[in-house]
Amino acid sequence: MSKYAPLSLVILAFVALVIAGLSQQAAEPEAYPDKPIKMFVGFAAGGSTDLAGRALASELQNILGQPVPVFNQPGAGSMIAARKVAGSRADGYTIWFGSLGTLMLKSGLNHTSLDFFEDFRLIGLTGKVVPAIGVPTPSPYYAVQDIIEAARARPGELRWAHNGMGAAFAAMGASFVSENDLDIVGVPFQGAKGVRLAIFADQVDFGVVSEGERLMFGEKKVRVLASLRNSREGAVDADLPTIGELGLPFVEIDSPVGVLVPKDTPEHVVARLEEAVAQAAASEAFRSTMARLHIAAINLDSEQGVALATRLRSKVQTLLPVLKSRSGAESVATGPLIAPLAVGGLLAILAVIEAFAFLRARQRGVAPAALSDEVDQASATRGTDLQLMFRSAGPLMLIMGVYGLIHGWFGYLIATALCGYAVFALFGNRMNTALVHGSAGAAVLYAIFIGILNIYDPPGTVLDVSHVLR
Amino acid sequence: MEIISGFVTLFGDPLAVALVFVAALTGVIVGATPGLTTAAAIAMLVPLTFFLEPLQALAFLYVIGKSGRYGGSIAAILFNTPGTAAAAATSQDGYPMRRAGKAGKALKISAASSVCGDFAGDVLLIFGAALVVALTSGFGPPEFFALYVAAFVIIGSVIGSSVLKGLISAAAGALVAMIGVDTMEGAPRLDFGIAAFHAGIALVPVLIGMFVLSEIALQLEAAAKKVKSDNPEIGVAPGGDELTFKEFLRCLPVIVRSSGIGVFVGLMPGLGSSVAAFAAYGAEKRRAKNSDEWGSGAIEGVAAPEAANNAVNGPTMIPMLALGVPGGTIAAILMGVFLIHGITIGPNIFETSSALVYGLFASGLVGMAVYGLIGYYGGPLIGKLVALAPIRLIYPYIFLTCFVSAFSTRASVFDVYVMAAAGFLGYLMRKHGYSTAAFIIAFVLARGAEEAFRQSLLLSDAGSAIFLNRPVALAFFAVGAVILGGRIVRSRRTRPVPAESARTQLEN
Repeated sequence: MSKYAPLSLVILAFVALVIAGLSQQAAEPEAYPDKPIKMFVGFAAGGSTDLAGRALASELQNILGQPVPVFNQPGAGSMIAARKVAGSRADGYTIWFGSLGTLMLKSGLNHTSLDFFEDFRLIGLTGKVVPAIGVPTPSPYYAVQDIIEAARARPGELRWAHNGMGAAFAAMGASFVSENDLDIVGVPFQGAKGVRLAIFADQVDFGVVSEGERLMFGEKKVRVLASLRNSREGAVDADLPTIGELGLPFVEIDSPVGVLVPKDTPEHVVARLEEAVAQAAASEAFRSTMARLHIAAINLDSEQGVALATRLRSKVQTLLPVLKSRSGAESVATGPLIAPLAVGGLLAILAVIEAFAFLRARQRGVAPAALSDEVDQASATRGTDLQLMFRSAGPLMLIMGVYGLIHGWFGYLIATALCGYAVFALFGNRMNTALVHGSAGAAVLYAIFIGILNIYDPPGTVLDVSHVLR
Repeated sequence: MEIISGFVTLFGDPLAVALVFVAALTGVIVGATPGLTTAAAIAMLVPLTFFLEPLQALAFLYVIGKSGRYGGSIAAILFNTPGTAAAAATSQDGYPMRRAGKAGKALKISAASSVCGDFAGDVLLIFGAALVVALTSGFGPPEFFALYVAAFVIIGSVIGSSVLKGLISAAAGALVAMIGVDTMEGAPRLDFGIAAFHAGIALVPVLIGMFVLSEIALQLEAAAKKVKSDNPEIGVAPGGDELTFKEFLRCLPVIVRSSGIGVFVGLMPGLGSSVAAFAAYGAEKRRAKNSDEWGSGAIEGVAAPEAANNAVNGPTMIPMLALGVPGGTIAAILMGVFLIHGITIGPNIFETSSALVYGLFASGLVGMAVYGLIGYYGGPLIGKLVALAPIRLIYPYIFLTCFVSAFSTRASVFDVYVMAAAGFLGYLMRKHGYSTAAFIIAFVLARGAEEAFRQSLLLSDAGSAIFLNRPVALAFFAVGAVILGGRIVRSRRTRPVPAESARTQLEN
């Protein structure tokens, strides 16, 4: 074999891939779905939205015959995940699972520029999480009326826990507080879990929890007084009185959860997805999972869902003034900037002291302190010159950045091969070794990660060879 | 006895049991590979466990953490290239033993003491964690905030040699954690007008960048300098491959005492295994009758640091499980895995996820038996295997795997860029004596601390006086202040530090 055999083989393989990729791009349209569908959930794993989404995803997987991996991208009350999906390619391979009520509230409050009617297409609604008023077990309140009386007697002294303004649960809690003219301070906690812990630890007077809370954790941990809805129809906990029954005013915002896709998704894809979601929502497996999670399962198709969304929007409009006035009431000390300012200030002060100490030490000719961090002993002897950095960390991190870039252009396999050559060469391997290990390594890693572990490999924007490889 | 039901849970899941075996072997190999730290390996493997059930994922990573701590001793004894500071204590007597042809004996006592130490730590974990949880179930935001502050201060000031650099590392980690949308009100902060920052910086890419990419860069420098650890074949002395029962009995008291030191150190957040190993080594050397032999191949000199080093494992999990405050880097990573799989850490964990937690404890016990056997009988073989793999091929492969690890968490290329940036920062930090571990732990804790602070003020009728009205909170602040004070006084004795630094730090 000649010295250049590996090189010519690699070039041949690339030419073959490019030709195959280009020829496949011409062929249209393929059956949907022929690759994994990513489901984005805007809340941390383990919350009720996430669990409901995962229950649906595992059924969709069986029905569609393709994996439906769930990606949690929490933040901004699920709007970050929503934005990601709304901005993704409208091909039905990226779907959002979340709460319609939250989406409406967030756009109403101008927390997001997304709009349900303009940016999304509803596929189906599969669950309904209903909020309820829960109190700690040592609490003296045994009925909602007790809370109202206490709040009237001691205005401004009671505290209630919610999961962040803009969340549907928090909005309904706020509507209960304001419609009954109560002066109670709201304390935001991180998600439903944070509210739960605050109640368990007896830190607040009441909190907005899910209606199944008592069924999940028992009377010893939390006492649920009433659910924030009008009738008991379809309730998870049939023994629970509702605020509507008690004749107390509040605005009922349903918090239905379901699947949305980007607005311009092709009709045949939407039709297939609608069918699959409806089938999944009707399945016994899904219903029993939801029952176990104490979440009410529903099965509304896109038409019924849009009608519900239209009703939802008008209710949200009536609530907006209340929510807007509440979110403006925070002081600086409890606002979002206090922590970055405090930590940043501390860091600046420490850095100045360190610089000062360093200069003093150098003046006195004291050697810098030896390094003794767990992993750093060996590095102390390796010198600190700039040149070293330009030969090691510099190019290495640059290759990683380029890796990310060309991964988007060509997909995982080609990007890994190309960056593999660069890294193997950087480590002083001969050209042939780098080519062989780069190519073979890319193929093996592709087989493991994309083939076996099913990690998402986006189609390349410049050259898409994913059809050839599957 | 919940632990028995834990074994039932574990053995009811054959894949989890298989993964424990795989993890024990992987950990030993990773630990034995010079330059590849266990925390780094776990960070890289985290995304691969998303597709597993929670118990499988946690058992896998947890056992790698355990066996990796042991595996470090193989490199320390055979090649005198300890991957961690903890293993550096082992190499002081382990390597001389090897030069005297007693490599087998050293590896065996190391395996035996590691398992004993690990067992002691896990006993405390299994019986103590529920107790701690019972004490902390009434904690509210003010107590948690005080706890976080104490943890910041302790971790920042204790983890490195320089108090100031440690605190700077911790503050930097906390600041980076603040990037993105504020979880309480949804207001974007420190986003530099870039939408990608809104989602915040994820743990996995930062972790891999700081620990793995920075290490690859340092290894690249070492390779460029052509530093080669020579590996001369040394013969075996008569009986040098066997550990007699008499020798083990001689080491037993050393092992018991060192395990005690390790357990205690493990309970303190941030101290970690290196402190435990050196503390135990020092204490036993002072106590030993044959202290002149120590440093030139005393068998107790291997037993002491190894027992202490592994005894740390279990106790570092206690504050993590009970309070959501990880005691070390590996615990910090595992905490992330708990959250990813939707398991709430904190006072309620033994009610909400009891089966999982005891299943995990059971997997730890099984894992330590497995790595003990692997180490006892296969230590030399693994050493040979590791020595075969050339650095210039291993590290590029690790580099390529980093990409997948960072990308797959959120299917986001932005995370890959974050990892590259974190890698560069981590490289600079390690070059200049800053602590990447303090950075990561502070990064993990910062958001919780912020929320606890703001919630405390909202709950309070008297502003920040709420922290003074809660005795538990006050106690945590005091602990933090005392440890910071102690560290500053000690470092002032050894080297001059400007007076201002002491004052400013105490005010915080």
